[in-house]
Amino acid sequence: MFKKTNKWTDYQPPYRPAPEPARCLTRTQLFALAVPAAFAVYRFGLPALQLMAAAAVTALVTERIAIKFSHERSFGTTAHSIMMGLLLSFTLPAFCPWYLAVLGTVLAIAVGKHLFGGMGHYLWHPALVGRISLHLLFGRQLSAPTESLASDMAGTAAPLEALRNFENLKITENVPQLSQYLLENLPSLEDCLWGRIPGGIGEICACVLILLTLFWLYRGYVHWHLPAFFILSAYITAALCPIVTDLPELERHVIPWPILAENLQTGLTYINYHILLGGMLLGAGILGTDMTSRPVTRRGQAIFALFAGCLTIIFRLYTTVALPCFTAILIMNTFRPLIDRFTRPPSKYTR
Amino acid sequence: MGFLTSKADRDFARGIYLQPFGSAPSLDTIEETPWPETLYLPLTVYGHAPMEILVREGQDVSAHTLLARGGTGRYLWAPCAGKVGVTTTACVQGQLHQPVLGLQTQPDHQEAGFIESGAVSVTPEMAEHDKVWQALERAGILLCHNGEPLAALLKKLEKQNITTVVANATPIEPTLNTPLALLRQYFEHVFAGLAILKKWLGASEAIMAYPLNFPIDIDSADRWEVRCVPVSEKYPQGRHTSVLHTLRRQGNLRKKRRHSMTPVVFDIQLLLEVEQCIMAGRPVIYRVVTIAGDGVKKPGHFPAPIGLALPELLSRAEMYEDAQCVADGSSMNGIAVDPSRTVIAPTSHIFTVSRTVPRRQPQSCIRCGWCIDDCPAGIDPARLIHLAENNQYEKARRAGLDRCVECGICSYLCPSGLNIMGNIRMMKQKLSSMI
Repeated sequence: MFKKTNKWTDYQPPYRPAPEPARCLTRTQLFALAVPAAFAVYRFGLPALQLMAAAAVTALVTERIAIKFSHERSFGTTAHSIMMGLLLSFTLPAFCPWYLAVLGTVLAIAVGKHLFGGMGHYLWHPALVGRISLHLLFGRQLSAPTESLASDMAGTAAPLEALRNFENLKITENVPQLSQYLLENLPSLEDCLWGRIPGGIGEICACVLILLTLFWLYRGYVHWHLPAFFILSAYITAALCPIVTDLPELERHVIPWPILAENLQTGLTYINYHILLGGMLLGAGILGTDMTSRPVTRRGQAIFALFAGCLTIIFRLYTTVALPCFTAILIMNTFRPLIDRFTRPPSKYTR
Repeated sequence: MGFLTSKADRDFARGIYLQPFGSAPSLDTIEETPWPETLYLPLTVYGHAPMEILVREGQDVSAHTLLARGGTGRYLWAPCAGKVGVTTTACVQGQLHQPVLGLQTQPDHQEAGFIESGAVSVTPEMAEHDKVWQALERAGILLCHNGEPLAALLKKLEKQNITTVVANATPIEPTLNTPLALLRQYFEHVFAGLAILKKWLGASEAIMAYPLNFPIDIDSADRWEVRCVPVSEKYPQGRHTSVLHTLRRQGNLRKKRRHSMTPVVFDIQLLLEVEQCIMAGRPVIYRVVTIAGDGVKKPGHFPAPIGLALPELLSRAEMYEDAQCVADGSSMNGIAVDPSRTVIAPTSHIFTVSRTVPRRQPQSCIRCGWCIDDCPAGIDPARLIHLAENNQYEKARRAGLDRCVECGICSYLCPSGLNIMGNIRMMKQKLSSMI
């Protein structure tokens, strides 16, 4: 009656199939990234495909080599690395040469992921580590396109620069004309939503990124706290942080509270630009929500997202940090162990 | 999607929805098992001191003869007439090499079934406090989660001011629905048992917590003055502490947790045993055992005499030949047993047979946080398994090891397949053996 190879008592509970093993988890996440990848190819054509393919192949090769040296055992790690490579390529502009994508991916996977412990143990998001390293090493090449390229392949910061340096802001009768400035210097909000703006190949289409975040929510890979509090705190910070320009003939703080600048509509439009431009949606929905580099409880994720959103806007308005959103996420990744210490149960600060 | 669930489901904050593992046994059939040739009656459960045997080997005994006795409330009765055999060892309640007393059965044809149903009412003699306690003590009724005698628990509760008595009819898993089958067919007996205990403890209220979509007989409950409260079917609602938590959140119990006001929870099979003991004078000789899972063709509820060897029930449930694992308990937190050496104990009630046990290999935690989100006890299973791997048991105790209820949700959800509950059990055993 009993025909089996193992002993009866060799098994450990639970005795039923697991709902989602790590292999399926990372594979689903990787396949879901096909949507922004397809949009990037549609929008930018062959250069985008070149970048993404270079990043993905490099990620695979680096991962296999790194596994041989580390004692790590984790089944979903290959798909995870390819996903990191793809995310790195999403943050690069379309005119970026393929060898930069390769170098960035090697730094991301070998240094950012495996040197810090591999799946489940690294501190910073590997794709962001790769992106920041590329900026530190080749910043000029990445932000200034050559003249022969079309204007829509311009650098990742082109529309965002207008939101950070308000040099062309006209002042009429001591009233700053914010709405006119937004109209003249920025693409329309609809263009931002549908991705008809210059920027990194995966971070321009807000629609696709919102859909991707909703898919993440549906599958349970992220709770709503992280993206929601990220956007919320960015909203509030952008509404309340004064806009500062360097026009010497005027007072230092030109617009104390942007949300009340001219009228509410202008203020809200200005804040919407902050949300839709730059890497904000990609950072809030996909990069900040990576499982290993975010706090593990929902309360911790809310704290993480609140500070990250706030820091993003502050970096955009008051500093010359090149990639404000990604830098903010990396800084909050650094504080992740501290947040975990205070929010993981059963600490005396939680029930 | 919390806002799309029913109110009863939201009342149970943590816990998860479990898909049925295999098909659910029918609630309408509880088939009697024919008497086997030999019974192996367990002399101890859950590692308590073995009972002292009062009969000789080779002695002929009739049904309901006292065969062994231990401390307060531990009695072993002969389920049917037979000849006493030798003392051997068997696996009882997941623990190996427990002493069992053999009995070669010679059943008479007048043996009653597992329930003696008659007119059910609480007569004035039943209200006599001491007589009821003595009857319950001699019957040898044990609590199925820790093997303690019911009589000892009642003595302890007598000193406390118990105001509410709760009966938990929620099955631990969708397919292990023994309480529902018993409630469907023997509801009068169950309510009578609850009324007996309520009267004995001097409680003012009796609550029957049943799963949301079960058709319960409200009129009968009203006659017995039992309040029926629907609760969610989420796992692990079948545990006593979880159902108390839900009732508190619903406002059916007082929120303040003063020790003297703690309500007491009983499960349905215990109430049935209490009622049979008081009304019909029957000691504990049968247990209704549910065999379910995807490893059996015909899952069902089987009233088995204590000491029945498990293979008999497995063949009646038509276990598949390629079944991988038989677990004493649910598919989430049972203990894998060797069925050819296992017997039915006075505290057994569920067995899960599995064909699709996942193979788990040690991997690293990916810090997804799913275990922490759904842990009913509100502790951190990922941290506990990390401490277990580094053998830091005292730190684990400070991290909330004792609050773990061993439901198995963390191990079930873990994408890396970490054996969190097994490690927690190991740490608890090590700590208790170190004291």
